[in-house]
Amino acid sequence: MSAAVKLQSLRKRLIKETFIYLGLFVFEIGSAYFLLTLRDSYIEEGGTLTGQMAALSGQTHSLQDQYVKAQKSMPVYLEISKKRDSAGLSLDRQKVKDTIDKLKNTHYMPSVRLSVSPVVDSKDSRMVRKTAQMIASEVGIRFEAVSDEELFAFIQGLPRELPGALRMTKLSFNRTNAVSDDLLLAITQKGAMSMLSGDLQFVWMGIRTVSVDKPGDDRNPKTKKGP
Amino acid sequence: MFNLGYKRIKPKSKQPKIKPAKVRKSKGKPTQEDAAVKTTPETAVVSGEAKAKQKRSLFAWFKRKTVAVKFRFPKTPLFVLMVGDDGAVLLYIKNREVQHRDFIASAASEDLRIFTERFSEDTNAPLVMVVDTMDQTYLPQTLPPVTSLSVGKLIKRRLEREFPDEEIRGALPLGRESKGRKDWHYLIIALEKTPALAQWLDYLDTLPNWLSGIYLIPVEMEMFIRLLDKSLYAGQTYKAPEWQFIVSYNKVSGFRQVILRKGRIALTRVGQPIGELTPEVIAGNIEQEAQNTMEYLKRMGYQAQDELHLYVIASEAINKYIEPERLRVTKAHHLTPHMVGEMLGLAGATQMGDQYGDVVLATVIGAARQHVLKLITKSAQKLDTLFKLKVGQRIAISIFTGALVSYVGSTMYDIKTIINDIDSLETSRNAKQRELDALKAEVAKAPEDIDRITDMVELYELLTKRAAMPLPLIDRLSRVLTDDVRVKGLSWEVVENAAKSTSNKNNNERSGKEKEDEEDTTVMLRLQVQFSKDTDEQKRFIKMAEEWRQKMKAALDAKDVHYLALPGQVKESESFEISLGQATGNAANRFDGTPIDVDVEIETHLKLPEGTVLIEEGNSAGVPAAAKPLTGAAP
Repeated sequence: MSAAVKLQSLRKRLIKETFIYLGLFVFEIGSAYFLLTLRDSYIEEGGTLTGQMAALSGQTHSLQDQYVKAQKSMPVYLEISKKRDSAGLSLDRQKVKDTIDKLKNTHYMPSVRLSVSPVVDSKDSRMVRKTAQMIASEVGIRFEAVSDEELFAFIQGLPRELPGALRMTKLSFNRTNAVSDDLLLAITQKGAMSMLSGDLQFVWMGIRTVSVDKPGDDRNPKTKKGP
Repeated sequence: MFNLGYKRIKPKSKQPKIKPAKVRKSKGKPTQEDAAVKTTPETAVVSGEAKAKQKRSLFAWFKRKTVAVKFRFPKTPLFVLMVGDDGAVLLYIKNREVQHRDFIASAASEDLRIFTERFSEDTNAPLVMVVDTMDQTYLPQTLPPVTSLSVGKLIKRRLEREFPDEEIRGALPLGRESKGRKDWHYLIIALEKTPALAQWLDYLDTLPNWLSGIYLIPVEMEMFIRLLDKSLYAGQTYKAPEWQFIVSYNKVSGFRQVILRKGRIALTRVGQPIGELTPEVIAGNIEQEAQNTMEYLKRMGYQAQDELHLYVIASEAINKYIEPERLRVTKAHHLTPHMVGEMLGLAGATQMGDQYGDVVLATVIGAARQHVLKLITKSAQKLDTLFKLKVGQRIAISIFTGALVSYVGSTMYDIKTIINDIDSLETSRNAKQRELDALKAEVAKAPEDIDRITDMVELYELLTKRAAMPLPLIDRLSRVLTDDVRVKGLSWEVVENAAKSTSNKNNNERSGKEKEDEEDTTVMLRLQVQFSKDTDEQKRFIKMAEEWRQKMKAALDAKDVHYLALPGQVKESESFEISLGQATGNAANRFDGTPIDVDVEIETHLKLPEGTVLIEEGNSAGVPAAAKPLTGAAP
């Protein structure tokens, strides 16, 4: 074997080895890349699972809290339900007319003028829930009374007779007549005479339930109005 | 300092100062025991004082514990071919041990097939050629003070000028002048391609093995003696003398003599034994050759009082007849090849009865990791480059593969950990899902949707909280009124969002407490009051009105109670008009005992549960009692 042949042979071997090493290099890089990708996908899967875990935990805690709260609120709810069943929370404008008419007669009111706005949903976000929301109507009464005692009894009778809750916003009255012999004579002849006149304004509030569709119990807030 | 492949013991400067052992001068020819004593470092004579210091010093104790250096064989297999004028020795080193040692007289002989067979055993092992022929030329050169980058070109030109192309050439740097012109000192060397050497090189070309280098025995003796000294003086403070003289009786070349001055090659000679080949005659030849060499040394500046160490590598029988005192050297080391092999740890290189130093020299020089000067033929140079490239490529891919395997291992471990985590996460998630499902099932069993329950209750509570009635306040007001003070008119009004109006904060920034405060609604109460007592004198009236105001404030727990206009009181900033001498009906100046009407403004807060009412129809529970009459208007 001459030096030239040896050199040629060595060169060939070197080139062959270089290609083998290049192949090995590519294979190794490919393997590393594959493993890296695999690891990343596992990390991503782990992240997704962690997210799901967190969501499930949050859902469980939220439901648990709500359930506990609901259990605690159950006695009150039963009472509310009873009222709701007897229309104790719904607003009916005819009802206010009848009630005030009844109270007017009971308390010798010479004159009562009633104005009732339509019953509308409350725009206050605090008064809106998924399954129920507050409804309200503004009621104004211009009245004449025979005495402040009768007026107060009339006012006292309003929440007792009307369903829902009342938030009185204004009451003003003035004494229009002083007690005198002429007045007493007039009362004897004509019946009830106006001694006081004034205004009463209140917000008449009730609760309207909202039916909620529950496909898969996802607590979709999409609502449809209940009865 | 070259890295010669042996372990460094300690820096010389830190070693205890112990005088080097002196050779015992004995009359007559040395015995075998004498030779052993002279060459074993553990038995070196140490002065009493130094010995005492050594004993006292813990540091010295540590020094004494230092082990002697051993030659480190390369990890990979290797062939070493030592060529001389009288034949060649082939060594095969594998597994850090000399496996075979063969001698043939010439490259032309029939015995060459023994070498061929040996080479065929391992065709991948590189081959190192160690040359100890007579035809070597050494020319000291002084070169002008050029830069270290340019000196190579100068050397190349000198080599081309001094030696023909066919010779194997090389240059050994000897240093540079530290003063003056700072000239370079080089030793240019040529190995003549004699027919015998050419025959060997041609033979090597036919082998598949790779010739990695050609090394000259005289040049590499610098490294060999340094290594030998490290073993001979292990654990001692040793400073090499200015002159070192080594004589090795070699089979392939004869008596190879090398003189080192300050550790660098100064002179080399080779001689052949003359006469009978008996130990006495050979010893005489060695002494004669050494004396001749010493004569040469005198021309180089050697003086009789200079320190000179002699190393003789020959058989035990020859060493026995060599008398160092005849050579007048400071110290003589009589070494047999086997002793050197044992000292340096050259496993398998020597045998007890070895006569020649060839194998020891070939092993140390051929298998050393670093050499003093490497020579190579032009054809071998290309092969060497390719082999180096091949080795470098293998090393690179090995390192890369190793790193990648580590990375892959670490990544796989990560993946395994992540998979375990995922498994445990999945288990936890499933458990959570089951827990949620169970909770949902329990919730589903509830008589009513829990959302509805909570919503209704919350709204109900809010409604209850928002309910407001004027009667409780009027009731409290009625308790304060007396017959002397009558209400002619009343205005009760809830001021919506009073808290909001007083707060500049953004709605989103409000705390829960602040939102609760919004429910604490402000109520404005305006009264038209008629006072019928103490109205005949302004001062008394004012006093009475003030007392009544304070009483009202306390009774109603009002934030503020004030009169809009009190008769007789005109503020400095206000103008007034008065008609003197007649009743005007103006409250500002009428104090005649008739009742006085006064407007009062009261600011208070609507407080729960005063304003709370139950919202059940027909149920009077919780509804505040009707207030007492205020106006006295009842018939």
